Amino acid sequence: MANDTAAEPKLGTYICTGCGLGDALDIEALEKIANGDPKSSTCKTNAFLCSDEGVKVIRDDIDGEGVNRVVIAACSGRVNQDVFAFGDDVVLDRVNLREQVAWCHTPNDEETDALAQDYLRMGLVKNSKSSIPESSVTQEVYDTLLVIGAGATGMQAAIEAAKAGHKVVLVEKEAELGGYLRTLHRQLPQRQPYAELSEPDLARKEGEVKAQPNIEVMTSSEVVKISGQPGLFTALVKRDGDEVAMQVGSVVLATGASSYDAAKLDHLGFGASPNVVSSDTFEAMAKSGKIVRPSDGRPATSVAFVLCAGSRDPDHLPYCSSSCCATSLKQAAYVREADPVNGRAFVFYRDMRTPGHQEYFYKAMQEDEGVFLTKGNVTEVKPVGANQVSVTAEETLLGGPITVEVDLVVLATGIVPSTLENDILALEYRQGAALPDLKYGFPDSHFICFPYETRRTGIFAAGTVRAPMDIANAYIDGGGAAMKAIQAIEYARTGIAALPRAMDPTYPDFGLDRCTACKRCTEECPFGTLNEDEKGFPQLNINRCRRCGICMGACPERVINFQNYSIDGTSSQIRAIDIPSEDSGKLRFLAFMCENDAYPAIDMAGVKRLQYDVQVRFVPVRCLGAINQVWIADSLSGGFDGVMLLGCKHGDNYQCHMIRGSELAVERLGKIQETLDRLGLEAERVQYIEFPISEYQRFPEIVKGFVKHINKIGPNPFKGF
Amino acid sequence: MSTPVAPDLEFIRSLKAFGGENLKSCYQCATCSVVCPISTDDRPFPRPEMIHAQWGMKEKLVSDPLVWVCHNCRDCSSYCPRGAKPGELLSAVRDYTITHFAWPRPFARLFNDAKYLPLLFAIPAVILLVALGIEGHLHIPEGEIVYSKLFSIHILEYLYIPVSFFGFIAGLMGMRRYWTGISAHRAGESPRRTMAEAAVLTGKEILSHTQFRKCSVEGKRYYGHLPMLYGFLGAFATTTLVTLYYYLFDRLTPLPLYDPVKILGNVSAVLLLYGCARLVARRFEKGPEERNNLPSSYFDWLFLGLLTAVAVTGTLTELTRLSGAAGIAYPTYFIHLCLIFMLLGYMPYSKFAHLFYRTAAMVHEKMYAAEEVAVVLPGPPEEPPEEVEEEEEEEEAAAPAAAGGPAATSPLGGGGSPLGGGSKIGGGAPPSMFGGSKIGGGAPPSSPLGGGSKIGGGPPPSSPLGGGGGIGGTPPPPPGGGSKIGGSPPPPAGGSKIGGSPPPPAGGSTIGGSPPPPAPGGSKIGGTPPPPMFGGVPGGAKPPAPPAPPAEEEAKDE
Ligand code: HEM
Ligand code: SF4
Ligand code: SF4
Ligand code: SF4
Ligand code: SF4
Repeated sequence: MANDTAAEPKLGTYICTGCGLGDALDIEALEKIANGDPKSSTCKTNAFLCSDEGVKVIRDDIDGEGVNRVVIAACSGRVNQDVFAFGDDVVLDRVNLREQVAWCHTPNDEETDALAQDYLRMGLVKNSKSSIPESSVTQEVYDTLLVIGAGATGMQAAIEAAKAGHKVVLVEKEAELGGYLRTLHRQLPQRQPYAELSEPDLARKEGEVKAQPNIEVMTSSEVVKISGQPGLFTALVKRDGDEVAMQVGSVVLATGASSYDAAKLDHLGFGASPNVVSSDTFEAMAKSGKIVRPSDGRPATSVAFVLCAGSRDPDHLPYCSSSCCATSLKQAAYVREADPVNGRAFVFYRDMRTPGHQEYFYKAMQEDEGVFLTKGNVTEVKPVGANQVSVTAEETLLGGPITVEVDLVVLATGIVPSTLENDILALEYRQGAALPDLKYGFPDSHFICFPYETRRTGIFAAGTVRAPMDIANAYIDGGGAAMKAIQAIEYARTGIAALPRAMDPTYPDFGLDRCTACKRCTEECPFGTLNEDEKGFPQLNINRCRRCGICMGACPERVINFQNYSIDGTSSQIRAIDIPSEDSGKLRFLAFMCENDAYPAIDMAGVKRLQYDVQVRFVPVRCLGAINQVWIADSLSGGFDGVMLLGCKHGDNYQCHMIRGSELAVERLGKIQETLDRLGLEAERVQYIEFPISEYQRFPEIVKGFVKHINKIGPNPFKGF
Repeated sequence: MSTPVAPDLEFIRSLKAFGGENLKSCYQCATCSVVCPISTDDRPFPRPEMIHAQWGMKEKLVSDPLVWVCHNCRDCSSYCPRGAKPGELLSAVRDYTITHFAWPRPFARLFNDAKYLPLLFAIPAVILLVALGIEGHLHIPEGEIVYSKLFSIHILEYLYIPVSFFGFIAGLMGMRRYWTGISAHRAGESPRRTMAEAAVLTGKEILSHTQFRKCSVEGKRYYGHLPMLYGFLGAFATTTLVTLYYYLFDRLTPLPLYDPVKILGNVSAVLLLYGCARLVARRFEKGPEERNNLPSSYFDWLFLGLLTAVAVTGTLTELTRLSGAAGIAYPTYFIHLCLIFMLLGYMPYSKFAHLFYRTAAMVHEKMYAAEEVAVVLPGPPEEPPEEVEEEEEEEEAAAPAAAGGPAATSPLGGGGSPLGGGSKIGGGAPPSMFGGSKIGGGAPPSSPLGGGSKIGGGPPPSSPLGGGGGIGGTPPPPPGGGSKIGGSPPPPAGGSKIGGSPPPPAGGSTIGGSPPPPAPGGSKIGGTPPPPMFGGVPGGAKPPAPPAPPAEEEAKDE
């Protein structure tokens, strides 16, 4: 889909001599390269290219001379993006002579110049192989948001989106709005000084929802199918046996969580006495105004709360459920409210986790003379007689094991995301109907960088389905996810990528005529972008695509290419690197580096003027998963002595922006190493190196280690072929 | 074995009513146990007492062996980051204990509420009036003022010997109950000393007030309690001697002013008055922050007020006699007698009972304590470094500083944080590390310049900038004042609110101040030199006045 009607390519190359580049590098040699092949129609040097005059030089060439391709050999492409911005009609490439050449290598050195020249050649080649993408937008997108679940999060998401002018369909499976809010007797304090419980927000939020003409509420309804892509989803909602199809632009999943099954907590006495209940049951008791012992219906004046009941326990829920500490304190207040003279609430906690304003409430509850708090491990909960229960805890603040006898024991059960056992969305996606989870069933996509983002573009998780949280945070989540959902519609409307390559107008182009339907791309795409037709050929849903290039890395037939990132483009770049002869004693290494983390890390090393081996040539890639094996084969057969893949952590707590890129790279590396063995090349010539951004200081050492290793093996025997 | 716990809500409410309102705020950080002079590593105090109070564990607290060893120095309260006021809580526990162990117990209730005060006064007044009626003395006697014209010495003996005995015996009963309680608490431990040995040590300690001298926030009380104690003992001795005079030499009062017994009586009166005045003054003193003030409950006032009233009316009795105004003298004498009756007869129910409980606790402690906690810090310098007058001035200067209060304002400052006062970090001059202080070094007691103040050594008072600091005050004592919690350095002397202001190169430390150059400062926490780790972080000295030598103090009174 490259733009065939584009004008004749006319290349301008601009070399900056500022920032010490002019003093460190042989600029004339660079100019010579610019005038070689591919030949620039104009090549200019400037002492201060990012100044107004410098930029004007380029601008004038574009406007006056019809230059439509620009190569800037100067600073890192990560800086001055706003300065060197020439619009969508110009193919722009930045050659990093500053952070990755002049600032980290010996000035006026033959090898440093060789490096700069290689990079300029690579830049020129890449530019010549790139084209302007044609718009991927094929039809008008839908503006409506689908919000699933009308609890605190869902109602908030609907309200915020409606206020922003979008139509919202709010689907709730129960007959009434409210979700968890509806079950509450009281809510945690919401106002200064955060000491007094407040009435549940239900009525207020319900009122706000109903007052919004933009919100269409569908209760007793369930989503039975979602197909399509951001901007162009079709959702099938079942209500009263009827299925209603609706067209929506994006989806907010706010189906919340359920309580952990107390029946699994027999070690905490559940089941041993009717007077051991879960916090949900206790909340219901309080709501009905009867805090009583189920055994005989007499008022329960002394109540013990056992926190982390199931949570933070590797045998149950390994995580902190985040809200049960505060909930238990709230329920302790119910006990005191019911009987201010004799009411006693014992709270056994593992750590009192009351983040944010909850801390004030904790302090306030601590002041209550009838609330008894201690850290401790509850070791035994057992019935005493028919109506009492004893709770024994060890390692308490009172100095040793203690036992209290109470009327009622409340287990502060943790929470389980509603997506754990239920697909809910019923996605018509090749990779399955469910949202992939990050951990423990929470369908988050990345642990810190991209909140609300799931691994299905245009579908956002918010509230307790995303992570354990309290109501205050659920509201924040609802609002945040609504904004992201609107943004997703806007991206689809303009045909640009969402996070993490936000605004990228390029996209993968599938040369289906040569595709063998091997299905690797459809299987490996981390975002479920590709469906398959009946014959197994990939079908691109462009708005789901995050432009990571992992499909391109996967494709054995090499038929997937981006407009500015292609198999041939990168192969040509690799070939543009000059390989010195074996007798020169100079080695050459290729380093594919992930643009998201490794690239800025190496820039940082340059900014800090760290010096490292000059024999390495970097090839930035969209993701380590976007390295096609042919490039590695090309570089080894082309005479490179070693190849590094610099990428992020994978596996548990991965940091890969594309979820599975570095993991796939390692997996694929295993395969290529077999091939190398067969060729008689040492497998260690190609290595994956985990290189987190925070460890840029270690970069010189990392390179040194690798070079040393290759030195031991000796130069590539294929050199000179 | 797990301890069954059933919180006594009534007990918690009583403790709050006795002045421990903030007991629930404690979050068990143990800052108090770090600053408390009687806390040790293996027996932290008073952190555990705080949670016992929070959980309403009455039996544990009323028989807690350390509660009565605590001298209410209130260091803990001023460093507690939560404002839980452990010192006040312990006071409340003591007050509660008095009521709890008092014999007969129901009678003790009359002492917890001001509304019974008239009744308490009426009891001796009626008894004395009845006695006067029996003697037929219900009028102001004629002629020269001789108090035996009103009450014969026999009447007084018949009345006051039994009353004192009652007070004393009833006090001992409470003491015994308490002793049984603490013994049960320590069941299983074997004593290190016999009771006799422990009693001798305790006696020495009481007479020299070594424990009192370790107080810093309430450091000035030492100057009140010591003279008061000796004044009281002197007054008691005087009364006894007067009785002996009568039986042995048949001499009756009034005695001439040159008589040795008279001199003893008058000196005692002055000491008692002076002591009471200082103690009362402290209770009225207000600092800029609430935590600097000594909270006073009715129970506190009952005893202190009674004793003060006894001292005042006693003195007035003598003065009005000398003035010859019989119409005033006899009623004053009557009131004085009523008050003495109350003081002695009600001894077991008022705070006066502290005499019994404290003695018991101290003896018990010396019998059992694994570690000698009595002698921890170097005492005041042997040689008085300054004139007494100046000492007074210093206190004045230090007062606002002391009041400025540590901790609460800043998480980094003094005691507020575990990094500040709370931690047992900081060194002192290495050699003295093992000598004097528990944690930091201390100037050897013999050092002429060493170790005055426990908290915060600083520049001499003459410094124009000195003395203002809240947390990092730069208070007075002579160079080398041993600092318990960070001293700040003499020369530049910025009275900063947080942290002493150190001379540039030395760098103030969070915990320790920087070294007063000439002599090694006795430092409990922080001190000299600041650990480099904390260098430059604000923090440092907490102010009050250095105890001046008691000898000097008394000399002035005479
Ligand atoms: C057994 C020896 C004694 C010891 C160990 C002792 C110890 C103490 C202690 C530590 C305090 C401070 C307690 C607090 O503020 O809560 C105190 C207060 C007091 N003591 Fe003693 N004392 C003893 C005997 C006496 C005697 C014989 C008297 C005088 C008649 C006396 C009069 C006072 C007074 C009036 C206070 C109250 C000070 C105030 O409220 O500010 N004490 N005593
Ligand atoms: S919020 Fe509290 S009770 Fe709940 S899991 Fe976390 S620490 Fe445990
Ligand atoms: S570029 Fe990435 S997201 Fe897009 S189809 Fe390929 S693998 Fe999927
Ligand atoms: S310093 Fe205060 S909060 Fe900390 S343990 Fe002591 S009383 Fe409790
Ligand atoms: S008042 Fe003083 S002696 Fe008593 S507990 Fe507090 S710090 Fe220790």
